[in-house]
Amino acid sequence: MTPSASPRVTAYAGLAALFLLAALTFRRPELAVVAAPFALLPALGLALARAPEVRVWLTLERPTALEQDELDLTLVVASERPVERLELLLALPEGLELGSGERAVSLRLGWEDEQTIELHLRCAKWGNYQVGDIRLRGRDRLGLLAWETRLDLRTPLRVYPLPETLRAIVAPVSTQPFAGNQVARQKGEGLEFADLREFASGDRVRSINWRASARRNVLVVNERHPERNADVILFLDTFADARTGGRSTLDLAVRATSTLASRYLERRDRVGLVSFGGILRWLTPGMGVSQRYRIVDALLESEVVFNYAWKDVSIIPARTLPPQALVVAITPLLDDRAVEALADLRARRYDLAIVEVSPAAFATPGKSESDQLAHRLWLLRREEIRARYERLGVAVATWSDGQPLDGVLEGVRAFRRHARLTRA
Amino acid sequence: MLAQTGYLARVIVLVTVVALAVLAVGLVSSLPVTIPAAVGLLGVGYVAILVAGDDTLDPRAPLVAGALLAVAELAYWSLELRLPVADEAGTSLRRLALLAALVLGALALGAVLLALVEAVSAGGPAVDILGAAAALGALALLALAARRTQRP
Repeated sequence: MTPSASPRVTAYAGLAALFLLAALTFRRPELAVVAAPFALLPALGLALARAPEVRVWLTLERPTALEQDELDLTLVVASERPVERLELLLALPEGLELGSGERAVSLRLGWEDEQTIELHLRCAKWGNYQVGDIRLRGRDRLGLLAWETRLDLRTPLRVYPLPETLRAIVAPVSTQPFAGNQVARQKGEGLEFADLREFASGDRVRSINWRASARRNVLVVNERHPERNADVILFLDTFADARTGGRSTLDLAVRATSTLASRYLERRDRVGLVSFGGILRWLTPGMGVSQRYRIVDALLESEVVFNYAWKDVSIIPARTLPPQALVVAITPLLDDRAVEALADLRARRYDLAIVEVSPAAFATPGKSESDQLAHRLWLLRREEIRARYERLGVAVATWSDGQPLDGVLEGVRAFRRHARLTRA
Repeated sequence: MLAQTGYLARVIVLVTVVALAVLAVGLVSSLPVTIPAAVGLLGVGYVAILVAGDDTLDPRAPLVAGALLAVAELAYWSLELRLPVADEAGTSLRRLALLAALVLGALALGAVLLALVEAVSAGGPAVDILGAAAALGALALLALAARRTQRP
């Protein structure tokens, strides 16, 4: 522990010296009497002070949590020797807050004493955190000397984004050959009725529709749509984000991506992730719970990294973007590289849907006329980008903070139904 | 003589007012450096009273020592209370008890020293050397405190 003297030590020693010199100068012993306590107190304090020997243990209730969860954090402080005043500060990373209790507390420890401090952490924002950066300051009985140290008891804590409520998701146009929950457009073995046709050699007897056969006087069988899975690629734009205070478009985008990944994986779809930004990260499509954790863990690492290099979809590994995959892009449409990359994906015949995380709420117009004009022009440019995608047949839904994602995706589904009818 | 006493009283009042103003500014602005300055100025006022008085020992010296120590301790406590640290129950009471003990100790020490001075009533170079040694000791204490403050 690093010792440091309180300002009182130097102040009292200085006062003692001043009064003693005055006593000598004016030949008044009373001034020496005044000087005596100021001289004796620091002398006693420095002579009697002993560095505290404190041990601290940190326990976190669990290593994972959801946004807005509250966790118990327990600190056990023990000392062999008495410590008159021990100040303990828990430095929390940005995104974690104290639900109750104080970040800095003072304790008094006796001989072989042990005290427990209970704190409640509130996970304000998703992320990978290390909790346990502790600063200790022990003071002697007279408060003249302090010993400071920093303890590294860091314990990992993963805070997963809070899922949005979703009743339905965007259905892909094409399906894959594996079994899943998506009704395929092709006909085959399945549950969903598709059509009627005349009996052919090899048809199973159980597929004969006896009522239709009776009406038509010929054997007729039911045709069905098989349930298949799909390949879904979640395309997260991390080139830029808009930020105000503790909120940002990236936070919302990560939350939406995590929710969509969970929902698609529940439907037995193969889900992959492309984090397209200053640093390219990807996960090849996969299924199941393990893939869900892989995606969420990858999302927790998401951050905006500035990079001036031009990037397009050609740098994405081919196996990350399987043919006929549905690409759901979650983007604030702030960076031209992401805007062009999405248009490029559409040009490569990928089934594309865009959830635009609106940065408009994060950019308030200035007070001057020119600032407001610039803001309006910026909004117009954004509308032009959306119109460009819609001309390419890509649904763009704008999602703002506080708006339910379900309603936004309904807009995407409606657009895609309309687009499908037009194509037909 | 009367005019001289009135002038001295005005100087003492002025010094005391300045000392209190310095202390108030220090407490409002959270500047610990102003506390010894204010206590020193209050001490200067007492020096002026002693110099203007006769040569007999002032029996109020232990009270002045205790009062100055109490002012300094209370002022530092006031600054420490502004730290965002949640104290456990009983901390303030313990601090108050410590403060009372320190003030009582200062009174007792002052009384003992005054009694010694009255009993010995010695003067001359031996006492001067002793006083100078005590002043040097205080300065050595300052140096020691500065050395302990240094980070390794």
